[in-house]
Amino acid sequence: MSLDQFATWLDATGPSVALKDNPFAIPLAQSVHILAIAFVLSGSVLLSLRSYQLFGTHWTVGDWGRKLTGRLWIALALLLASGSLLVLAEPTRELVNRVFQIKLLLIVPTVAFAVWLARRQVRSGERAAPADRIASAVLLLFWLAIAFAGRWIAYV
Amino acid sequence: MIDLANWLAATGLSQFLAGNALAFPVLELIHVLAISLVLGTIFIFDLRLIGWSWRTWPAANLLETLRPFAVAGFIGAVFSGALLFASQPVSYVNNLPFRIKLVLLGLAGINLVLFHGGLARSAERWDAAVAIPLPARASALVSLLLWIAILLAGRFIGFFLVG
Repeated sequence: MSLDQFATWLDATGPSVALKDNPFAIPLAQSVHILAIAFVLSGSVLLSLRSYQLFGTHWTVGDWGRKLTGRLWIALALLLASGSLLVLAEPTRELVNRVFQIKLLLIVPTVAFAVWLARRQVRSGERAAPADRIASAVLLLFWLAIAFAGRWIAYV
Repeated sequence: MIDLANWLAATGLSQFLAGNALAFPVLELIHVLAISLVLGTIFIFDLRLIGWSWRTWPAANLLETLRPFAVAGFIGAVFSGALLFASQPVSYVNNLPFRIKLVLLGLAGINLVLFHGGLARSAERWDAAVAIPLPARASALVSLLLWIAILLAGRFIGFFLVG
């Protein structure tokens, strides 16, 4: 079964049809998705600025890291759940979409990178290690690229 | 308001935004990024005031630290939102979720004025040991709910657009 055929098959399944038939399902799932994106992006911005000593120096990098990382896990779980529902609702719009495929390919290494950096950040003190500073900025760029790709799915 | 929308639709800016294939998605992206800053920082502060999270962080310092991000995000969201509106003003003026969103934004503004105009008077003493007064906590809860509602109304706009 090709990806095309799989998407067409999924599109006709009961759960997919039920989601499509409910006028509130897709915008609700999208709203949850955007709220979780807000948590990921703002957390990444704040942690990166804190790593460069440009923000929130009342508290250590570790303090910010622990609070914002806890929120990051919640956000990633929400993104996975809402994103899966959106794919299930419109598989022929998502799965075969080139930008969606690029987005998925970006997500896997970015989440691994985020986990790696978060484990270092929560153990940091007053100052971030130079490598962590650069890593925090690179991570933010990756999240932005993913958000950009997500928004562009609708336009290809 | 319809007259204003009709006038705006005839301007060069509106015609450019409506005719350019890249303008709308780029503005949408900026809008989402700006909203991320607003929601991401307001949630931290509201949850701190309500007492659901960030409890050991002095609220006064947290407010001072996060405010520039919320303000910058809001300004970005208003600018990008105004340009999105200008791309099809007549459709938006007649759009129910858009109207609801404007009302909710007004309510959030009133809540903000009440908070900074009175409820936050003792804010500089809100360190980790001080219990936040109930009216300020209520205002934070209202803010949290309003911003969630604003997000929802905003997301529904596209599903109710005609023409």
